[in-house]
Parts: sequence; structure tokens; C-alpha cells
Amino acid sequence: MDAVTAIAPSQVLHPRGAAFTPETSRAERRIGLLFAASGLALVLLMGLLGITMRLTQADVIGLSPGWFYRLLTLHGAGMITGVLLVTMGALWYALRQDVPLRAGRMLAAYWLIVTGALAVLVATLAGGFGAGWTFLPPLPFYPAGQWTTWSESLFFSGLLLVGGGFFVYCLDVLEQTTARYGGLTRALGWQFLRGRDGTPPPPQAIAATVVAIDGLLSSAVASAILTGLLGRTYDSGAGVDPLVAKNLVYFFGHSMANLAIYLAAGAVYVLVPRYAGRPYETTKAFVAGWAGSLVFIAAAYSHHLYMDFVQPTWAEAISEVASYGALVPVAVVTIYSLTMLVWGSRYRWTLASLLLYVGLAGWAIGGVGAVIDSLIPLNFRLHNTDWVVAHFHTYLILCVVLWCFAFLAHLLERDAERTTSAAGRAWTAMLILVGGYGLTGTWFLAGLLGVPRRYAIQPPGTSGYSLAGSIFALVLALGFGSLCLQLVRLAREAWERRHYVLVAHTDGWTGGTYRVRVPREDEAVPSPAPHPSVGLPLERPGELALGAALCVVGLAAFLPPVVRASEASVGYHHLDHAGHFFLGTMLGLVAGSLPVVSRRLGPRPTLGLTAVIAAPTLMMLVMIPRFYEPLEHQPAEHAAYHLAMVAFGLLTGLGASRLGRVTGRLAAFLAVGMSVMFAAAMR
Amino acid sequence: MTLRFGEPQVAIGIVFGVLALVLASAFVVIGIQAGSEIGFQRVHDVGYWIRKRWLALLLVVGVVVVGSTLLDLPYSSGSDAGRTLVRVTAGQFFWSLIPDSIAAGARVRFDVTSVDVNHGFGLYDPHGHLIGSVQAMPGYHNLLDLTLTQPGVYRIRCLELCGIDHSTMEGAFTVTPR
Amino acid sequence: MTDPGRQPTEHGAPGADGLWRWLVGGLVAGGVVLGLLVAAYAIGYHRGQQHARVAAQSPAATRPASTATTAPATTAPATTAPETSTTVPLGPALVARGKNLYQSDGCSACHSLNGAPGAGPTFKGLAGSRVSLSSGQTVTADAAYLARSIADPDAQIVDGYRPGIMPAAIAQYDLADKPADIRALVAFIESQR
Repeated sequence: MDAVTAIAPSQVLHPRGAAFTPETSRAERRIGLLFAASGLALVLLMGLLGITMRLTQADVIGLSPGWFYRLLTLHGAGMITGVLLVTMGALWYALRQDVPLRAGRMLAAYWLIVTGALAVLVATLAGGFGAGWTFLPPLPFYPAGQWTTWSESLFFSGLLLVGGGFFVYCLDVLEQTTARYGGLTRALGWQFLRGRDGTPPPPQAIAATVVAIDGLLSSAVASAILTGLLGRTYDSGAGVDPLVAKNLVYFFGHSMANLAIYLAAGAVYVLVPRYAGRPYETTKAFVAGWAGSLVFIAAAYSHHLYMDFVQPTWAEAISEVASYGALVPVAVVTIYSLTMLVWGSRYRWTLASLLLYVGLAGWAIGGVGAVIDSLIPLNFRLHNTDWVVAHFHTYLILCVVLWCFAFLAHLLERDAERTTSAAGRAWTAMLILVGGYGLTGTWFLAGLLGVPRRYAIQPPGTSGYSLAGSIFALVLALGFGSLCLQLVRLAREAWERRHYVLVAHTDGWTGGTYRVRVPREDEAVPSPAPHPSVGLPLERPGELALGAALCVVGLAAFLPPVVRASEASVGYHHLDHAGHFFLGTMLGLVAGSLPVVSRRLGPRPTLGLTAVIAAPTLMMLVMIPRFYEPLEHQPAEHAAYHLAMVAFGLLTGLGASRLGRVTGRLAAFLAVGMSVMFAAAMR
Repeated sequence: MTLRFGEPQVAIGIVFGVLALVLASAFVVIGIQAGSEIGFQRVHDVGYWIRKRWLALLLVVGVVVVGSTLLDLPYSSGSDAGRTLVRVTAGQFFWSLIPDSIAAGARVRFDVTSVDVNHGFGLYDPHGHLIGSVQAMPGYHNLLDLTLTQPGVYRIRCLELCGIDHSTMEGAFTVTPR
Repeated sequence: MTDPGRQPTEHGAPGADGLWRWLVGGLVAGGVVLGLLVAAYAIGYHRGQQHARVAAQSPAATRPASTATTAPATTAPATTAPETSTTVPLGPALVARGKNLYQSDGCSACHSLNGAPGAGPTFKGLAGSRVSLSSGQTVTADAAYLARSIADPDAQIVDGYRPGIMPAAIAQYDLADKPADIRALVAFIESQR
């Protein structure tokens, strides 16, 4: 071969966007594609279930209510899981240059989530589990002949695995952002807000830190209630307090669904500038907005309990304020400034950038529906009607799922170095928008009519809405089908371009010039290396002293008067166990933070992570009356059981001490918190 | 019973429709202008000018709307003086109301509970308008205070997924003319 | 503030000796707090004892039972001393388990806890009371009676109630094969004074 000339580079991104678009390494592309493709495959599969349900409600298909509720349960759990997978991958990709996450952790999270999803699939399709993805206790234990006991425990285990995978991911995110930026308040940008830091973290890092904190909280709550319910599955003598359980279930569910949107937003901060050609930078308003979101996402969950009048009114009021409050950072910072970025930028319209932009509108419109429902007197009339279904489908289909596809489209476009035809884009967008807003529109109307949600058999006279909804759903399906077709074409080209390069070759013998396909060498793009864990949970002498003090105070859980008082009820007794666990955790935390011990243990992040997840879970799983009750009258075994609580705590504390300063503390705090929540829920 | 749109729901629908349309139009306009070149300084100036006022508007609307709704909560005040108590018990898959009829204009307190799982007490007036709902929880009593002036048969539908016959468990409550 | 890139730390200042001093100080501080808590509890307990002795001259009741299932589930820790009770303290886990089975096995549908009549006799005050059977006998509702009523309801029917209803209602729970559950339910019924 003689003269070798490469072809001119593509124009997929904005001409100025190249400045914010670093090269990706093979590992980055693979992990990004793994998460995106798996998640989207799950989403599309669940979408088919959705269409089936709508057609059943329209009486076009004659699916039995038993099957309807199986599909409903699977659809909910599968969609949230799928969307979570994609957005986790997207945020990982967006963080890559500044805050590299550990590939091992990503894959561990991936496999935990996929296994969990499989468990849910089997539990619903084979076991018949049909209590909804929100499994509101005590419904899972009242199957009315529809599902088996094993399907209950498989479902709970599946969700526990999904929560565990998300926990692993969030922990790594938090560890890496705090290590990279030097502490929690720097990683959140609060030092920048106070004017003490000239170089704040980039927007996606702040978003990731906030999501990680709320995500860890949500996984901890999920773990507490799910282990309790697992125990209840095997021992019907274990009592679940319906109100506390409802609080825990909705905190977990609300947070998971919301965090999927905010995870995606973190990635969108990175992707939109590439097509708008304008940088998106951290401002003080941005930091303040995300600080608000950190609080509001968590505090708003009680809006799912507005119609549980026994819920304390102050909790409802806080949630109403927080629900409206959550709107403000989104409307004033995220959606607004991204739109500002796009306006008049000679925005490069490609498949990805179109989906990104249209998704912003979906979030805004869904948000209006949400805020309306979050006002208590209005919720009184809209609660659990199709209005709820309408607004969250607007968020999910017309914002998050579009952004998920945008992420995949971006990866493929970059590699293919071209995008779809304008006509193809236009058709896809039209089908998706008409189908999507039509589908949610019929639900908004049905909700106003008072049609309840989750009805296998629709009220008489409302079949028109279901039929219209089904038709729009089919249009939407066509839109996604067309989108997938275009993505497949892009994928083929992307694969070609990644593996081969077209080279202009001048034939020495004939003198003619033609193009030759030559295998391309993958240039070794250096990937930034992740940080090792930084710091110990208790470093300064004062902190260690405080830890030691808390250990001694924790001994109170063993004092005879306290143990006697805790015999008053099962709930208080579980609280006593939580006290034992707290003692053990503090002991472990203090011990693990002592320099002498820490050096002996060495940096063992994976072992630490495993301990922090496994020990509290096991502790909660053994708090089943069937295990415990025979021990009550044998003093030696009883004492051994309580010491085992301390031992679990010790393992947790030691494990937490391997996780670094910020994450170690948070992990220990959450573990103890889980035991307290467990005590509150399991009576 | 055929479902019909109640007045509050119509109002909600109109407000939502208007806001959704306004937002959609804004996105369309900005989307069209995205293709042209507007200097970043100008975008900056216009954007920040609008944003300050946009934030102020949202906060004012928030205080007014959230504040006024917090003063109009459906939670019962506590005292049941002068109210007729109607015990509502939900179960898989039935509604039990004792008594199951009262005179029009009487002030009622629905004491709602469940014997098994969570259900939702959704009350529809004789014309098919959804009045509102409250959860029926096992082990807890939710109290809903209403004054029902319309005579006729009120229907109850379940508004919380409770199992296979969730869609078909219906109840009835009669309000007799005075 | 932790610098990025620092390895798991060596504790620098004020030195190993200083660290132990801090730790001992912490332990002492913790001990003081614990001591204060114990003292506060002891004082409160004695005050409560005096109060109970002065106020109640009638024989002390047994420990307060778990509240009825129809009330919001809030329970206060028992501050009246269980030691003064003359009955054998029942494991709280066993009673609580029975309470949950009372709900989940459908007993609550027919047997009230507050004395109200229903398809079956109320559990309030049942344990230990004299019961007239449809056969004409009068027996004491002891633990054995209660257990048999659950395992084989139609063997002895209380006068005024109909046979056949309870076996049909609880057939799906197979309680005759679950002695642990029966024990728990009996413990719960016995706690309903």
C-alpha cells in the first residue's frame, strides 16, 4: 500500500462541541453500551406488556385479571429497573473524564440488578405475583388464590438485589466524587457557593453526588422493609405495621423513580453542550438548586400518603411544600438553563439531540401534572385515578426513556460519525410525540373523569378512553420501532467505523485512487484511574473519642432495665436489637479507624462493601419470630442471639471503616438506620 | 353508574391544559430559534433577565397555592359532635357500610378501615362525579367528614390495588331525601 | 478537610500517646452519659413505684396487653413493674405472633376483642372464664380448651352458636397441623383480659 490518507472527520456534533467531547476508551464504550442496551431492551419488553394491558382494558384482548396484575407488577418493576440501568450507565459515561468510577463496581451493580430483574420476572410470570411493583404490605400476603408463597419471597429478593446493585453504584459514585474533590461539601459545590472554592466540580459531578446520597438512603429503606417482608413470608407471626410499612415502601419507590430522572439529567448536562456548542458550567444557582433537590426529593415522598389520614398532618404538609419545592430547581435551573443553552446556538439537530430537547418538554409538562396532584385538596379528587398514571408516564416515556435512547443514539452517532436522515428523525419524533402525548392525554382525561388506576376491568362507559389509549400506544410503539430501526442502522455503521477505516489508496501500478477498508487499530485512549478510598470515618482524635463515648452509651441496650422495658412489645424489642447493633457498629467503626488496626486490615474496599451490605441484611433476616421465640426461654441461647446482633454490627463497622471518610460514615449511619426502621415497621 | 366529570375536575383540566399548551408552545418556539445564531452574550442577558422574574413568579405562585391548599385539608378535625358515624369496612372483596343510608343534609363521619389489605374508599355521587377518596387501612381508622346534600345512591369503588377483584368490588350508600 | 489522593491515614498529631488519652477521655465521657441515663431511669422508676403503691390498693393487674387490633398500633413501654404480676410473664414474641395470626387467619372477622357480639364469642375476658357448651356442660376456658377450640372447633360449641361455621372459615389455614400457631393464638387470647 502506498499513500494512506484518512477521510475527513464527520460533522455529527456541533462544530464547537468537539471541545467538550473527549475521546472514549474501549472499556468506556463497552460499559456504556452494556448498560444502555440491556436497559433499553428491558424497557422495550416492558413496553410490550404495557400495550397488552391497555388492549386488555379496552376489551380488545381477553386477558384474565390474574394475568393483568402479573403484567402490571412486572411492567412497573421492569420499567424502573430498565430505566435505572440506562441512566446509571449514562451518568457513569458523563462522569468518566472527571470522576472515573470503578469498572468492577459497575459490573457488580449490573449483575446484581440483572439477577434481581430476572427474579422479579420469574416471580410474576411463573409465580403469579400480582401485588403491583409497590408491593404495598400486607397485600403480598393476601394472594386470594393468585400467587404462591415462593413468588412473594422471590419478588422481594429480586427487589432487594436491584436495590443492592443501586447501593453499590451510589456508594462508588459518592466515594469517587468526595475523593476527587476533597470532601462532601466540596463535591456538592457548597464551598463554591460560600465563595471558598474557585474551581467547583462540574455539573454532572454535583448531580451525581446528590443522587448518590438520596440513592443510598433509598436503598437502605428498601433493605429494611424488604428483609422484614421476607421474614413475614416465612413466618406469618411476624407483624408488619401497615402505616410504617407504607411510609418505607413509598419512600423507596418514590425516590427510585425520581432518581432515575435526576440520574439522566446528570448525563444530559454533558450531552447537550456537545450539540449546542456552548459549555455548561457550574454556577452558584446550579449548586443551590441541587442542594434544594437533595432535600426535596427525599422530603416529598409522603405525597403518596395524602389519603392516609392517620399519617401525621405535619408530614403531609412538609411533603406538599417539598413537592412544590422540587419543581423550582428543575424549572429554574435544569430545564431553563439547558433551554437557554439551546436557544440560538445553531443547535446541531441529530437523532440524539432531538431526543434530548424533546425530553426537556416532557419533564416540564409532566411536572405540571405532578404539581397539581401534589396539592392535597386536589389529590383528594385525583388520588389513585388515572391522573397519576398520566403524569408519571409523561415523565417516564416522554422524558426519561427518550433521554435513555438519546444516550444510546449519542454513543452510536459518535462512532458512526453520522446521524439519521432528517426525514427519518421527523417521522420518529412525530410518531412518538403523537402517540406518547395522546396516550398520556387519554389518561389525564380518564383521571379527571374519576377512572381508578390499576383496574383490569374498566368501569362501564369508559371503554372509549381505553380504546383511544390503545391506539395511541400502538402509534407510540411504531415510533419506538422506527427509532430502533434507525439505531440499528447507526449501530452497523458505528461498528464498521470502529473496526475498520476507509483509506484512500493510490495504486502504484495503475495510478488509480480508490478506497480500501483497513482494520483500524484501537488507539490506546488513556482512561483516568479511579481513586482509592480516602480517609477513615473517624480520623481526628476528637472524632475517635466521640466514637468511643457512643460505644459506652450503646451499652445501655444491654442494661437489664432497658431489656425488661423492651419486653413490652415486639417493636420495642426490635429497637433493643437495633441498640445492640448500634453498639457493635460503633465498636467496629472505632476499631477500624484506629491507625494500628487500620494498617493491619489494609485497604479492602470490596470486602468492606460486602460486609456493609451483608451484615445488616443478615441481622434483619434473623429477626424472625420463628427463630427468636424458642430462644426466649433459654437464657444462654438468648444471650448468644443478642451477642450475634453486636457481632453483625462489628462486621458492619469494620467494613464501613474500609470505605473512606464520607462513605464509611454514611454507610454506618444507614446500617443503624435500617435496623431502627425495621424495628418501627415490624411489630 | 356512569362516570362524569365533576366541576373541580373540569377546572383542573382547564388549568392543566392551558399550562401544558403554554409550555409546549414555548418549547416549539425555542426549538425553531435554536437553529439560528444568537450571540451568547445576548442569550445570557435575556436568559438571566427572564430567569429572575420566572423564579419570583414560581415562588409567589408557590406560596399562594401551597399556602391556600394547606388551609383546606380534608383531614377531620377530631370532634364528632353532631355527626352521624358510618362505619365503613373494606375487605377482599367487599364493602360493608353500617348504616348504609342516611338523610340528605346530615353531617357524616365515615370511619374507614379494612380487615385485610389496604383498600381505597372512593365515593361517587349519584351523578357519577368522584367526590374524593380516603384509604382503608388494616389496623387503622381513617376518618372522613362530609356533608352529603344530594339524595340518591352513592357508589363506592376501590381506589387501592387490593387483589384480583380490585376492579369489581363496589359498594353503595343511599342518601334519602329529607 | 481531606486532600484528594491521600492514602488511608496515619494519625499524625498529637501522637500515639495523645490518641490513647483522647480515647480514654471519650470512654469516660460515655460512661458519664450512661451513668446519667441510668440514674435518670432509676429516679423515674422509683417515683413511679411510689406512685403505684400510693394510688393502687387493689391487687395489681397483669402487664398491659397489646392494644386491640382496631386501635392505632401505638404501645407505651410498661413502666408498672412486671415483677408484681402473679401470672407467668408470657414471651412478648409469642403474644405478638398470636395477635398477628388473629388478624391474618381471619379470627378478627368473628371474634371481637372489646366484648361486642359477633359470629363467634368475644375474646375479651374469655380465658379462664366459665363457658356453657351446647351439650349442657359448663367448663373453664383454660389453655387446653382454647387449643382444642382452634384445632377442632366443632368438638365443643358454646351454647347459642352454630356448628360448621368456624371449621369452614379456618379450613384453609390448616391450624390443626400448626401447633406453634395454636400456641401463639392461645397466648394472645389469654392476654385479652
